Amino acid sequence: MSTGEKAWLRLAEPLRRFGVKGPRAAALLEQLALTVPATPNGWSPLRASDRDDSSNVVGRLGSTEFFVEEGGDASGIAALEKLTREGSAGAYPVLREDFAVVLGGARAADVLAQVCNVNFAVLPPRVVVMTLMIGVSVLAMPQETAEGRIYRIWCDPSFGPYLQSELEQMVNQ
Amino acid sequence: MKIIHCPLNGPRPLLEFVSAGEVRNAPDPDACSDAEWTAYLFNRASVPGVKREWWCHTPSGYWFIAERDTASDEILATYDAAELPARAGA
Amino acid sequence: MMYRLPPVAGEWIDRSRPLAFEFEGRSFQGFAGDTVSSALAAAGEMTLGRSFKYHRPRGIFSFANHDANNLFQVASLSSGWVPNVRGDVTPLAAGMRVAAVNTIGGLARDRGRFIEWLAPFLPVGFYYKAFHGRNFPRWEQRIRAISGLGRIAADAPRERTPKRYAFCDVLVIGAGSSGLATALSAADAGARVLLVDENAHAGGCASWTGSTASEVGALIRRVADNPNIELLTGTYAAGVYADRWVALVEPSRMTKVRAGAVVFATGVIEQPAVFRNNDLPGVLLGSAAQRLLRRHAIAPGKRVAILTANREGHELARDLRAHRVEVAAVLDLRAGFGGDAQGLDGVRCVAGVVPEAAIAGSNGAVCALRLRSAETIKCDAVLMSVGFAPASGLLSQAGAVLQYDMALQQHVPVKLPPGFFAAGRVSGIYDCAARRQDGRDAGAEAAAYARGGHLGPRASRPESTRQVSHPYPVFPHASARDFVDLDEDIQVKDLLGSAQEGFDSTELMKRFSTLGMGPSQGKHANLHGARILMRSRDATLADTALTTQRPFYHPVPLKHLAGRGFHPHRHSGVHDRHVALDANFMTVGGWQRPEYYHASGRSRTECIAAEVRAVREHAGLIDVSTLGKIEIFGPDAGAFLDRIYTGSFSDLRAGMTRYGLLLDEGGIVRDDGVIARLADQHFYFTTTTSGAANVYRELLLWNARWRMDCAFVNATGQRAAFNLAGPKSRELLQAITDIDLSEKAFPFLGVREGRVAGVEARVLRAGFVSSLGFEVHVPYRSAGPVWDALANASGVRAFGVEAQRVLRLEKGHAIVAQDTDNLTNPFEAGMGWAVRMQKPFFVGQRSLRIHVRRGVRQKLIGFELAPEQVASGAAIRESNLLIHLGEIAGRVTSVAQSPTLGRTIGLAMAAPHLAPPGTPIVIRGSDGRLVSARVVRTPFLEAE
Repeated sequence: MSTGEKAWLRLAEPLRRFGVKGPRAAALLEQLALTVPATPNGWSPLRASDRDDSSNVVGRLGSTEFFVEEGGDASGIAALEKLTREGSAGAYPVLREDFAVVLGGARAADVLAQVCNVNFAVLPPRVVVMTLMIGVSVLAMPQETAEGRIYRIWCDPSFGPYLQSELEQMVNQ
Repeated sequence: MKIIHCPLNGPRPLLEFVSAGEVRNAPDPDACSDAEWTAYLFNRASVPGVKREWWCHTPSGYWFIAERDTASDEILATYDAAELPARAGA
Repeated sequence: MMYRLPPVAGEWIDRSRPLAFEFEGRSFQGFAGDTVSSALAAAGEMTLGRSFKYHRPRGIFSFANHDANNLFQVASLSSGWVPNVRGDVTPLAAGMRVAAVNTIGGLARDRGRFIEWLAPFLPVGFYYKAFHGRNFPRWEQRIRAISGLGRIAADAPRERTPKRYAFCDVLVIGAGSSGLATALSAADAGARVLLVDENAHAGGCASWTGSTASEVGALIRRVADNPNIELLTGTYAAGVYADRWVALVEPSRMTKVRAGAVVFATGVIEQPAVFRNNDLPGVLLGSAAQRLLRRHAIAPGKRVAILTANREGHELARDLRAHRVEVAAVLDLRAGFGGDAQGLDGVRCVAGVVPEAAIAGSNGAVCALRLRSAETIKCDAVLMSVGFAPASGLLSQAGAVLQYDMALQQHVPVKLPPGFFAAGRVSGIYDCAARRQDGRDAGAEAAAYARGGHLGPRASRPESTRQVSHPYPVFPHASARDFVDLDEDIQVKDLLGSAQEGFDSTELMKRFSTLGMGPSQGKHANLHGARILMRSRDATLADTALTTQRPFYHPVPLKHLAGRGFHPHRHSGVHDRHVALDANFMTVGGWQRPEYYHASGRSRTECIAAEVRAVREHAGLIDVSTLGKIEIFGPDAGAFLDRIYTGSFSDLRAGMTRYGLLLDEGGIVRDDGVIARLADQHFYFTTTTSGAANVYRELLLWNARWRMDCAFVNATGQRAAFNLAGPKSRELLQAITDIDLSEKAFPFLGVREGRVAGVEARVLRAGFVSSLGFEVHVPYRSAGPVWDALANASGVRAFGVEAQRVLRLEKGHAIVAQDTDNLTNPFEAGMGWAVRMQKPFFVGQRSLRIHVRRGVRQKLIGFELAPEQVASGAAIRESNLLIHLGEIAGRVTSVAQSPTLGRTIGLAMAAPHLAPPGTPIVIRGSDGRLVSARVVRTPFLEAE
């Protein structure tokens, strides 16, 4: 058990999110000079120029679905939206209005241990985890940042208020 | 709680999964008799043994095959559904 | 009588911290580190409880949570009255108020003690034979009034205790010398080790055996210094579940551990001797006396008799003498005790003893022990050290096979499932050095298993050379009171009686006699019960299994199982708008939906009626975000839908929608929705709220089989949807959208994409509740401005689920799973028009061919009540039955009072011969009254 500072929870910065799936989804990302994570259920910084702790990320959900989170002018997402809307064959748009939070702090792992039965300690780096937290399907992405290890968590927006309320209670305890 | 090794997501507890029962091939609807069709609908093979089953990892919506010994509840193998024809032939 | 000694080396109490508490209304004092029972014992209280059936006085017996003599009701400073508190193992806290349970008029003067006089009328299983007849209710009341082990405080506050998950490579259960050695060995092999012990401190029985105390102290220090070992004391393993999932329970919470390997170093449970009055206060187990002495510096009595059959009993005598406690005699059941009596000069040691009865003094506690040799030994404590049973409950849960070792007179595990290991006395190894070696071996094996390998078989297994358990320390008495199970007051004759009645296997004997069914679940009773049964059948313990062990090993507070109490629920993107409009919420498929909106001064019925009227006369707005929404892309998208739904969709024009009916393979109606074609290879369709997740999963499963070239997206939560319905809906919506809503440009069943209130939207012509209506689908996060623009449009009134149900009923629309059930096919539900039987294939088609040939067996009909029935207040509800010629001829599926039509209308499943419009039908209301109604055509309301 670690003692020390608590855990903190905050809503993710105003970032845009978007998804693309299909047999040619990876090719579409490459076409737009966006990184394609090499392994299923892995993530990468969105562009080669983005750092490891960037909030611009692309995740690979399974083999042929990708999830992009991007800040700033979100130009990558804008381009993806445009191309998929025009019916780019084999690469289909996925609207993503996810509820997104970031969990961090010295005791973040203790909070996770109360809601999630995944052993994050033994996962390889750069994984995206699709699992359940207190009854809600979530994506969870551990990331090393200047603030230490953080966990980016996304879920269906309709479950947002419930997940936020429960996590806040645990963080504040 | 039982662990299932999802081919896509790795080992996860049972509560992340839903099963749709044994992998079965429907008889040809245009060629089979009513009796054969009804047996397919309502009868199941209940003899204990190793069965191929459909399982879904609900957070990711991924369906796959598990080979499970229904007497011991031990899961012997899990694999993507694309491998079914090859494995079924074996 | 027990009393507190001067400080004992290694004692757990802190004499600098006295704690004041109350027991049965009297004041007492103990020390920090005492348990409730030890503090009372130190004060000389011998009687701490009354037994379950006969209300006999009871005191400390096992002092290890292996008996239930000392159950209390406790009120602490932080909680109200809590029942089922086990005094032997519950730490004392300042300000505690403690009360005995199962007493009438208090512990000392318990009026229930007169029940023992009725014992001849209360043989084992008497309740199966008595109380037949009319007097039973009165007996039942009386028995209930005096039964029960405590009271529940109905006003106790809800405590939410967190649960957590944990992971480790090796879980070691039990931190005695074997467990400590196991943990160190596993950690040395590189494993992350979790070591748990139910006691407040590690060390186990080695801590109180003088010769080994310092060695085990060294092990404890090494464990504390090892960064790879986490030690949890005060924590017990409650149950072992699939794939090495173990529930650990401590006072504050439950932890669910997933272990790579599990080692049971759980030790043994000391067993009593069975003789008359072996349950008196002051008669206790030798190990209980050791714990009282070493942990709490309490002497078991002023003059102690020890009944033994092993070296442990003689060591106990030596320890007591070293602490200046007088030992009246060491009475050994064995014919000879050889070198065991070393160091006991001056103490009388007798061999070949046969106890006859313990004698109670005036205070109700033991004052003497009488032997069959007619000698009576005066003593105020009788300590029993005659044998052990393995603490194997958790091993059995894990699937271990145990066999009775005749040489050891103990069950030992002979086969453990993969990933499980055992070490120490639970495996029958008693020698100290051998136990530690066994632990080291088990730790190495467990660590190897957790890494995915395994070590070869051991070079040698330690053998126990010393018999520590007497094979049959049972001495039945003609006048009984020779207790085998103290929890349930079961005597030897009760067990023999069960066998005689034919309940002569361990499992049957348990159920008939209730042996082992009390709070300690047979820990001190099961083994002797089996011995007695086997002897009565001239068999041995090798010929039987003990009863099945199941979780939990010790009782677990319900609050730990409930945890925080999570109730996942979903909110639409404009939930706050509904709150602001004073919506009354209901839960539908996990979502919070407005049932109706409160208008001040109006009843629920009036509010709903007003919402219905608003839609009929002007325009209403409902949040239908909860609808399932699925997108299909790809070249095979249309062909896929053709195979899944009953209609044709590959021929649907882009910009149009079509009703979609989903069947299962049996041809039964499962779900419905609206399917819109947005582009050649892009469909967007809805499902029912509660069916959304299942339908989506079902589609994925079908395509896992068919492998067609299409991709699926579940957009249910990602999009909000609102239905603006009513005659003014077009005009009001047109004002805020760039889509041309005119009839020519946007015909009925059309779908268009464009902007509504500046937000990208998909708009569908909806007809579910009204002829004219528009369903607007927008991204979740943009829902607010769109709702506001619609809701604030002139004269628009928000309406909820109840109004929607009335509106759709007026239009004659069926709701799947309300107006249909698990036997309804589309032809019976009036949905045959949505079925294209001539398609090459769709799910359910083959079964529909059979249904068509069989003909319909029921039909969904519309009905209305006669006006005079309504006026007389006849209340018809869903599921009320249709009666025809005295037989059931159907049931009501939907019914409502229609404000628009001024009549009560409804839908019902009816026998086909009742279906023609105009047919009179009879419905039996919930109050039994028969109400007449008439079949009418649907929709009840044509175009408004």
